[in-house]
Amino acid sequence: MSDPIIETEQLSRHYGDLTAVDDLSLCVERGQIFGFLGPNGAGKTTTIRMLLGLIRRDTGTIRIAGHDLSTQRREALARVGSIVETPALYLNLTGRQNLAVTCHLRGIDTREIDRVLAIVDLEKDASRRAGEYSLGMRQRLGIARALLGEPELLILDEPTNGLDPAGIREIRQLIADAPARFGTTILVSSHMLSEVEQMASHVGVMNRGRLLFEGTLPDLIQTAPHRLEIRVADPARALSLLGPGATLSGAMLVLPGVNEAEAADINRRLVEAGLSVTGLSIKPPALEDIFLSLTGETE
Amino acid sequence: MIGVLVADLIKLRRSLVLLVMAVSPVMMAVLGVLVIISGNGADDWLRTAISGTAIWSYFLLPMTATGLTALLAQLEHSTGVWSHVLATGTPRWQIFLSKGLIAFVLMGATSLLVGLAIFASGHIGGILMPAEALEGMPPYGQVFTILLKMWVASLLVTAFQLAIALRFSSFALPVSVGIGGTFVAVAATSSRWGLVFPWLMPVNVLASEPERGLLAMAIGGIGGLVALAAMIVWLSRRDWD
Repeated sequence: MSDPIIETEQLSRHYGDLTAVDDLSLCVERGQIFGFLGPNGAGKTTTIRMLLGLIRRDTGTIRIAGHDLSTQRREALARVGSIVETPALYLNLTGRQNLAVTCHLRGIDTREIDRVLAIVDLEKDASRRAGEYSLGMRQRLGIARALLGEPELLILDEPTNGLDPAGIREIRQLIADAPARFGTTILVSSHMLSEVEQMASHVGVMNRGRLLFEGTLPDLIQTAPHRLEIRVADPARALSLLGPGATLSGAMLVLPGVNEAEAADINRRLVEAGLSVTGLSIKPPALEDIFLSLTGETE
Repeated sequence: MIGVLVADLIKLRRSLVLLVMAVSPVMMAVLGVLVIISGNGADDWLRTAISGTAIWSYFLLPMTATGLTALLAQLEHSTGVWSHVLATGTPRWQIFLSKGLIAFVLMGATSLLVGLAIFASGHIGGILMPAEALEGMPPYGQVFTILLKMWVASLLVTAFQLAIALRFSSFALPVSVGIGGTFVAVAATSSRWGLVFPWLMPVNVLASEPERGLLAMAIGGIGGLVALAAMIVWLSRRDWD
């Protein structure tokens, strides 16, 4: 049974002539890690800011955990932890004091602080000023702060921006483990497909303010045609035999949009022409190609 | 609401806001001692202390309101913490009301410290230079009453400065407005506009006509509360990009 934690209907936001978000209807179910993908300027951050009530929408509705953001803002946002763009911290305060500020703002017991510090492994540095933290530590503290009060939903906007590879791996692991460990649903935005691919169960692809795809990663792959790769003794002759649809990629012949029956037919034609076929496989398209094709960023 | 106030008080730790609070009392104390030991000032407690309150109201009070509110707002602006604070679901009116109350209370606390600094400088000056010791009894009640009236009259300029500082992320803008207002106030003292010019409200408390002092407290105090309410409505309704 469907149990959405985020539901938006026909959400739009304009800045003058620019349409930042256009008629966005989104549904994120509980327990998902929802990768919110799109190139820079696609409208991801504007959408996130609307979900968090930071900016108004021109049209549309937002429901979080069943609560309408317009009429039940406090109830809706009480269930949400978030990081918007950078992990904004009070640099004059210690890590622990930063968390205490949020506890008091949200009416959360300050005993929660030790729990979330342990999750992000920052107990030893909790008494240091946040201004002395590395970017990775600030990001971990930001996630700890978002986890205060055991939120049902975490909204993380580009959480690995500016981190080194070790930091990226650490944050990615934290996010990937969160639904199982804390029962939290996660919406994580990124412009990097490779990052989302490694942690998301579902994705939404946005470009120029519009949602182009919403579903699982396998569903996304299904939307694009598969390709046939053939290893053959004389690729040049095979190329001329198969016509303009085929291309040469190294020693391989590649034919896009081919199903199994067509593959068998091609194999038969090559063999009958006296070409020995040493390898033949139908492969899904690279996710990156699908993403680039969807967002119109192909050459 | 109590939680929001506690959160705002925690944010003040190790911040420049507390330093700004200390600047005016220290300046008043040092200046007071120098005037007394130089032998060029008034030789009685009352006139010396009233001179101190005049310096405070004319120059240091509006500058303290400017610096204090600008730094209070920069606690949120400088690192972009607004997005986090406003996304917690805490009612926006509580967030901005808390900022206003904190600013008013800090200005009141600074006024108290200024009063203590005025009397401390009188006593220290007398100890350092017994020949120049001030005559008469220290007018504690009179001076703290004047400072209290000045604080009430300063609520308008404090709320106005706070609104600008919270609305705009720039540090330079509210500081420029504050410095500009303070210097225009000097020129506007004898003008009829001086009666309603926000930066002059605390100075008007010292006016020889009692009704001018009362008007300053009414405009400054009630105006400050109205300005605070307007600020809360204004900031609560806007987008926070």
